[in-house]
Amino acid sequence: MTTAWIDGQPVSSGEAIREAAKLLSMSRLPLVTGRFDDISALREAARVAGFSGGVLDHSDLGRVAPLIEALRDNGIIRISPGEVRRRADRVLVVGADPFAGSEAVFEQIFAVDPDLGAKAKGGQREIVLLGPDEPGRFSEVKGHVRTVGCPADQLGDAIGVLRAGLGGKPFGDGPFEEGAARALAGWLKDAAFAAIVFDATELDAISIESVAGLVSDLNAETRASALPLTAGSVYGAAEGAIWVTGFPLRTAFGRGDPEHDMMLNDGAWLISSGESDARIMLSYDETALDVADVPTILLSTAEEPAGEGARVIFKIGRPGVDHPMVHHEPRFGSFVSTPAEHHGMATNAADILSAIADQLGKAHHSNDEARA
Amino acid sequence: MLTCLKGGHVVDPANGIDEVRDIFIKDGKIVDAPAEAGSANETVDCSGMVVMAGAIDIHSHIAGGHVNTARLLLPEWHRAFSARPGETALSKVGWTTKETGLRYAEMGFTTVVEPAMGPQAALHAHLELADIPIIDKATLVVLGNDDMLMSMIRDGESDEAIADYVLWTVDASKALGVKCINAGGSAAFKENVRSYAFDTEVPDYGVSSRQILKTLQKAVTDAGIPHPLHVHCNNLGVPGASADAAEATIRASEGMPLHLAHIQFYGYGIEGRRGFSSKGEELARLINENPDVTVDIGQVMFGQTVTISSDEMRQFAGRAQASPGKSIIMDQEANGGGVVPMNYKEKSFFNALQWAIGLELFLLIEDPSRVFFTTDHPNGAPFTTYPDIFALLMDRNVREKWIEALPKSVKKWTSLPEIEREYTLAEIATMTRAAPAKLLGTRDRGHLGSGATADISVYRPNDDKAKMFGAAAYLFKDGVKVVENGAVVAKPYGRALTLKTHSDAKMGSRLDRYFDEAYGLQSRWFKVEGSALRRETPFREVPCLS
Amino acid sequence: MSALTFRLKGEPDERIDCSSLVPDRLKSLGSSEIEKLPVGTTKRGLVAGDVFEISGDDAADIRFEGGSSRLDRIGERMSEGAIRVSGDAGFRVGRVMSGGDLQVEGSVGDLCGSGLEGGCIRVKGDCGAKLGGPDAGEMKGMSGGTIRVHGNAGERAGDRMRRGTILIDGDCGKDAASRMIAGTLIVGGHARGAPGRLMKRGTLLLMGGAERFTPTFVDAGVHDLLILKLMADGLRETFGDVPFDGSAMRKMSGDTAVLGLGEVYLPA
Repeated sequence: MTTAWIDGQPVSSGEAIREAAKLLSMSRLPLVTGRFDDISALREAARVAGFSGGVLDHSDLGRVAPLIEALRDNGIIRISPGEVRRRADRVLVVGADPFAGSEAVFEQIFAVDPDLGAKAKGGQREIVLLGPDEPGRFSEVKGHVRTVGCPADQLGDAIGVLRAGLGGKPFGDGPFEEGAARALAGWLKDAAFAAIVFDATELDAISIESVAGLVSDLNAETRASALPLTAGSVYGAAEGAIWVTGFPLRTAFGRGDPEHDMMLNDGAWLISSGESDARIMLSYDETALDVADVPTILLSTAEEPAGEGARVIFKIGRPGVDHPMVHHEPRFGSFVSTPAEHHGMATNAADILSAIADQLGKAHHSNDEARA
Repeated sequence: MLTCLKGGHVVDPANGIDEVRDIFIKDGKIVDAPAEAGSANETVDCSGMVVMAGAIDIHSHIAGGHVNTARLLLPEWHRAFSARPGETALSKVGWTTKETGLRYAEMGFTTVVEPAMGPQAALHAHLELADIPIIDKATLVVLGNDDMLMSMIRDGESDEAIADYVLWTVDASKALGVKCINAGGSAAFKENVRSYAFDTEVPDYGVSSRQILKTLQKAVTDAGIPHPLHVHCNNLGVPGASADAAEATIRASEGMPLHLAHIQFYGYGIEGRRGFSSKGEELARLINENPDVTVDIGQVMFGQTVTISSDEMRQFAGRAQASPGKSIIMDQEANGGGVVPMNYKEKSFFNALQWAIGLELFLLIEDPSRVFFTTDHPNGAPFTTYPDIFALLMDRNVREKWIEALPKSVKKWTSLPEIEREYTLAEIATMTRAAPAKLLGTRDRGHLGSGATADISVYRPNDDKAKMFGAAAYLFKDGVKVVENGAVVAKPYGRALTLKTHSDAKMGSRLDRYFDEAYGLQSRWFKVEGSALRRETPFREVPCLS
Repeated sequence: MSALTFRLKGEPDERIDCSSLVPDRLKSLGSSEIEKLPVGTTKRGLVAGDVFEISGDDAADIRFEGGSSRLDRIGERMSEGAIRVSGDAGFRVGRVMSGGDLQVEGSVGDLCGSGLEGGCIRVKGDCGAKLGGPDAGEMKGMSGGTIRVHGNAGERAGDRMRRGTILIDGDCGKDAASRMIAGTLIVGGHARGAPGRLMKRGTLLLMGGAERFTPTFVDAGVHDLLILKLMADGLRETFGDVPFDGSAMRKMSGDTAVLGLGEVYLPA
């Protein structure tokens, strides 16, 4: 079975790996990108970027860039979903449907009543949905649910109003009815443990900073904590990149040491501006990609991998299906390993990336991270 | 392949050796001198140099969720922003796993313990450790704020059941030992308790910090875990209350071994108009009188750093002093924690006295096998400050110069200027090699006897001890030369040292149900699989005490 | 002596790091040393001589001729002398500059005047996002000096600004003066988005009004303040001309989500 191609012609994986390494080493600034659902692949991709003097990015990083910005500019008091499940007697859910794509977390938190804490246990959870007019997926949960309508683009304003209300400062009502903002701020303040849940991919950085500020203000006297949700693998990939490179992706190795820049190292920008002249990409898309813009090495899970114009193609297995994977599990708030669903011959993208990195490392006259 | 390190001054207190002799290495181990002199394939001339076992750091936050959060929080202190922070100790650490390994190796360290791995962050911690080159690593898993343990104590479960739970956690997380951080404090903080001490009960559980600590101490001892329970006491950093907590904890050791971490942060009294004074002498006396107890220091050094701790209550309170003024606090199952940046200033009375208290403890605790060399990296200072600390311990004149630079008001509040002691090379080797290996139960290291793992550091003697210990002349890891003249020349991967144990199947199925029903989590997520780490030899097992 | 001139040989195909090409650094270097200064950002290791024709010898008067939006970090950390760019410039122009004079004839990228501490930056064209703002993770933006942008500014101009003055003659992008701590920001044109989000203190003059304000800005009525007149007189000395004259204006106070001591002035 063929698993590697050069210019559409079947080749051995060894040939393809050498060709890929050659292409990357000849490139001025290769882009190393994709989805990196499997942290093992990300760790190896970072080596590829390092040895080839490239830029490491993730195709979805833009979705969590505001969260990353708010966290490192301002900080936050945050909570894991398991602790919300057991402790939070009052939950403010911000946005039209922040659990879209995070259904497992929704199930984990709201399937039971809180059972820890002298004041919280034994009672039912109170839930306020700030955003939608209808409870939606909350119509079935345990606990008391009510809605406070708010347009999506005014969520940050609404949080600011709650902060002003809590601080006894003047404000306009914004999306709230008269008196409702102060009442809601008081409701949060009187909680045994309040949780504020939001979809971090839907709010801008200032709005996330506002949520963090509200939580911080509440903690002056009571306990409250924020739960940012980020569906998909990108937040985990950013976490992984932080320990390997020091930064949450969008990190360049053109000068050796890692250099991070959310704008200048945005993969899409690098390709469209012409600053990157080659790419290596990890794709789980079944449909053909148009990658003819720059010479491309494509690692694809597609049944018949087809990259329009890709120089080198590797067919790879699906992480967690064809081979084990390591990924960030939002319910756990950390990394877990998942075994393969079946044992097959499918290649692990991490192994391909590792082999390319080793090949590049050889040319680098370096014994960097040589495998023991 | 037989390698001879020839003619060095061998300082190996574990084997009572302090003399010029040759050391032989074969297949990654230290071996006896061969019958035929000169049969070595390779000879490394060590004449005029000091030869010791590779150094061991028993308490340094180098990996895991909270460490990574610190990296996230402080991009502006990363060395890659070279135009920004300049050459500070923090910027020299670098933030990456790779740099962590390189910087430690350059100083002659070969084993480092990450002392605060939450059970939930175990895989994360091990993934990071797997990416740290050269050095061997180990972890302590954190218990003592977890619902399971506190419920078991409240419900009066048997010692055996509790030991099974502890061993399950150690086994699942691939830890070497157990740490307890402000026992019950994080759980109480979730109940909005803001003031908490050794005999305070955690609301809703009705168990006290003392009960939790004693239960864990007994479980660890009964299970034969070589490293004694590693304790982060209550009220860290609080003038008065910190010293009370340390004293109460030491007195509670009651004949069983106990290790108290970063004791410097507990040496604070309330005298003087600033309400801040040294308890260093009293604390050192108490430790000298209690042979069950070992301590590490957590020395403060001046400059920008960041505090990383699973003591959520303390970190929450510390937000007020954050510099730069931002922090991340985490409410999680069990401990949670927080990351708070800190800038210790030489001109601050408080910071200068913290620095002096650390050195008082280092110098007044008499037995170098019961006091360990740490900065609680990066909480007191980044580990890249170690060379300066060696100089401070070994050279009175260096101390005098540092003291001169402090605010005048500090001098009357510390006994440091009067302390004449200077650590000898043998004492340094005891504190950083022989004793840590004994404390951790890792008998294959910390000494240069036949059969030991060939982790060997070689230093070029220098009157400037910071220069001497800042750059090893050679470092051998498993017999391979990895450092030469202070620069890394090879980057093999080490492994994580884990406790050889097994967990009880009944406890396993009980916890499967518990994590699912209580938290909606799968218990298998807590288990670290070696294969997930992508290293040929991810672990090396350390036996339990029989 | 003639101006030390860096004439671009052609549009560079990678980002060029010009942070070493500042008076402070170049005054002690000879021309052959300047040629060898690394300026590339890829593994090719480009040096100044690869990218620029270098002529002249007065390091206190530096010229970039033939600009490019890829010339980053021009004037970074400069404390004295003058830099003129006769075209566009890239990101981080005048970042953490503490003195001297920096002028760009064309437009510049993001983070122009980021963390500015002193000196004067003038941009004849437009500027990108976060004019005067902090770089990733930094707690303060501009803390002194003056910036004038004759064209339009991008999003979040004056983010975390702490001191100094910014004057934008044109419009400004979304959410100007976000997280402002103190200082003065004047916009001749229209301010898009909600200016002043999370501002603690500081003064905003928005001559073309704003798209909207958050509910945590409170109308404080029309004021005919002497302070506005004095401010106009003072700024005229710095900038020559300013888009307001000190006549009566409407005042908004905010952001009450935080400290709420910021003042926003709008045409009455």
